[in-house]
Amino acid sequence: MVRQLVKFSLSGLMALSVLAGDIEAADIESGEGGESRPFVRGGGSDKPFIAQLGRRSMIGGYSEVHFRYEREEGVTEELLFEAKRFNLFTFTPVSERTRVAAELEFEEGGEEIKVELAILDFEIHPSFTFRGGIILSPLGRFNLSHDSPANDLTDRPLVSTRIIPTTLSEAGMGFYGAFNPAPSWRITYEAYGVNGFNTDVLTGDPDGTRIPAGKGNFEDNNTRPAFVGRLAVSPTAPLEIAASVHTGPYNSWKVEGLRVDNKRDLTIFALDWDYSWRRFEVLGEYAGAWIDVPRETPIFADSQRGLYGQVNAHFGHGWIATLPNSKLTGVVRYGAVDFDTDVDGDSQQRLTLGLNLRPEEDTVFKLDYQYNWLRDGFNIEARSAAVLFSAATYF
Amino acid sequence: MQRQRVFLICAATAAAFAASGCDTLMTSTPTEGDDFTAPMDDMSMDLNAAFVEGDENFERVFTVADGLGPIFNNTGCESCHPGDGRGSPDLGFFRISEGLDPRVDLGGAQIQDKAIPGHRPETVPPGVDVTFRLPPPVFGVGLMEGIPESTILAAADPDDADGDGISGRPNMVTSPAFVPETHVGGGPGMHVGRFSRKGQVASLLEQVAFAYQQDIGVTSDFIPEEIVNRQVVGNAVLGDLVPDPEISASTVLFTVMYVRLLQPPARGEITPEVERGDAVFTEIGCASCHTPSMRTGPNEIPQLSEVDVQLYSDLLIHDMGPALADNRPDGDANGFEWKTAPLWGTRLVAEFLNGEGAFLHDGRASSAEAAIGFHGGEAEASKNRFQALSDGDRQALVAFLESL
Repeated sequence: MVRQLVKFSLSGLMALSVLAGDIEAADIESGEGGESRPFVRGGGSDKPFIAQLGRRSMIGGYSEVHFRYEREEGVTEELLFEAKRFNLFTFTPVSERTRVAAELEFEEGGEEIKVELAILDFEIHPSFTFRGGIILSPLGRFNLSHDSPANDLTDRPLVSTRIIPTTLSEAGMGFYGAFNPAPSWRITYEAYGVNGFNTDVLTGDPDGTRIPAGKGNFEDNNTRPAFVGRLAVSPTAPLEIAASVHTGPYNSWKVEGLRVDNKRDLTIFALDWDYSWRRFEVLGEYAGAWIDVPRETPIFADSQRGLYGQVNAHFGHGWIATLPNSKLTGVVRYGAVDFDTDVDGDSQQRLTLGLNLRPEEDTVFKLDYQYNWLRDGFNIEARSAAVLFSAATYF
Repeated sequence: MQRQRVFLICAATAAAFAASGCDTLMTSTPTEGDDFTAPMDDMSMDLNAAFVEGDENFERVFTVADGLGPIFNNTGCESCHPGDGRGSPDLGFFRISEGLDPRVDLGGAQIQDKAIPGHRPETVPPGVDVTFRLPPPVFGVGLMEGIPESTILAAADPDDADGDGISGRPNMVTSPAFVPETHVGGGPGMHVGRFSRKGQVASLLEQVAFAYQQDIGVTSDFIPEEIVNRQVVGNAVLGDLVPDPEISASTVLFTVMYVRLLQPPARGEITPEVERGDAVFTEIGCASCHTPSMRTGPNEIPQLSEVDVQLYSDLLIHDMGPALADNRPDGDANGFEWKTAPLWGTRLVAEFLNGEGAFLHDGRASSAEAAIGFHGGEAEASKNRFQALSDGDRQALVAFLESL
């Protein structure tokens, strides 16, 4: 089924490219009639760049700080401040068709420093742009749009961190583009070959089979690339629905020409949606993962899934007299992940209630309350709760 | 107007949150005495620190990179002893033997039914004696360790000299050379076995070090040899990729200290029915083996020193009849003999196994009453007396067991 899905997606992308000659190509950054519709809302092309360096390059970034008070079954686990992220990004239009962008992430005070994004784009046609480098894998919308100032809750959704390992950036190359098949409609696609995951998916995390443990493959471990792609349909500017897939082998089954294991694939399918209506936004993401695992080791999970659904309600515009551009947002999010769909347990659910203040568009103060229901591999439940306060801003 | 309404909603929400109380919102602390993971009361800071260190070891889950396997039963201590209690039937494991021979050449004595990638797990070979065992709870073992050998031996009556039909005897065993004399059950000579299902283990250090090696496939300074699947490779040693030993002596000793300092759960509510059941328990002879209380000897750890231990076991082995026999010897115990199972914590067994009780060595009984029905041998007479009780007395006895 998964293979059919991938084939179907690829066929769709190819057909779209062929049709590109007949359908009016969309401007990457905007919709029809000058209406603002970024390629991915909150994504790489939708960041506010504030300072211009020299003639062409622009530099910006965002900063994020947390206060966390967390308890598990009544026992205080954490009460701490976290300098969570300090990210710098650059964007350079080298020429009319060539663009370079990068993002450098300093996480938790420099404990983790990595180049999260380093891409070279060459626009052949608005419907067909080459992209190569360290790309943000288009697997679900959240991975493409994960900046804290752009999101309304402090913590990222469970499914978007535990099944889709945001931030998932991989070395690879491919193409992306946008079409307007009909007035008000827009279709965008991204399709890349990437290095994929490695065997740590199974063996790298003591909690069990965990996809995030297998990311960070800047050299391919098995000489076979993986494919990642996303197809997004937007019938009107406020609505977008997208399907994406990441599939390919994750283990090293041949070493120096000798077969040492069976080839094992990991496929992640994601569906995401985003709809705005008046002061409300409804967004969410579903992901399912299928993992070929060694049958002789029954501790591994061969399928996982998760989803989140979120409603944002914006209100209180200009209520604070000294901050005329301020607004408040109430947020409700439910998320769940199941790390092994074949057994009861090994899962987590989370309900988050949030209230945040944006004194201006690019700065946000967030106050969240979250409650977690965790079930271990033996289906024994433990509950935890947290109060979080965070501040984030683009600069 | 709208602004006022929103403020009112926010205020009402905040008031509702405040009225709910911190524990409701932020999760509540487990009821004291209702879990298996609590340390002894009022320990010194040194003991608390050792307990915390050992707790981390106990919770640790081993990966291939940590030295898991090559063959194993589970990935960590708590994976088999969830919440430090007993394991459920799907966490059980097989032991094999042929007569007194543990048939190491066929994968015995313990069958490791899982393997890391690239290795094959063991399977139960045909034609051998097989026993299926559940991981026992680990709380209270420090108190069991603290009971002097002389106290256990004093209760032994191997020839049934008193004619009560009970002939409990100690499982006298030797300990591995790595267990020093300073440990209970350590040093040369024979010692009273008091741990494991047949009392075939005399020291906590031996129990923990072998659990790391046999159950998780993790070697230590105490047992640096990897277990391998002899069903596949014969005598050729093919281990995992992590150099041995995979954990230090210190890690094992902190884990030993952790289980040593785990206190048993508190008794449940003692109602008139429970008191009546307590009396019936003694009247029909259950207490002849399930000794309600024994006393520890002097101990450097104050919480373990000269205290009464309500474990409801005499720590002796008894012939339990054919229904429970596994026909497999362990130490000095034969295929019919089992150590009297401590009954403390009985009331929480089902709660810790998602509402499903799993009693006896293999979890075949779903309730304490069903477990009594499988008793035989030296316990046959008590079982018959239990079955002859009035409904009220039988219910009272069960209520008593469920208060322990």
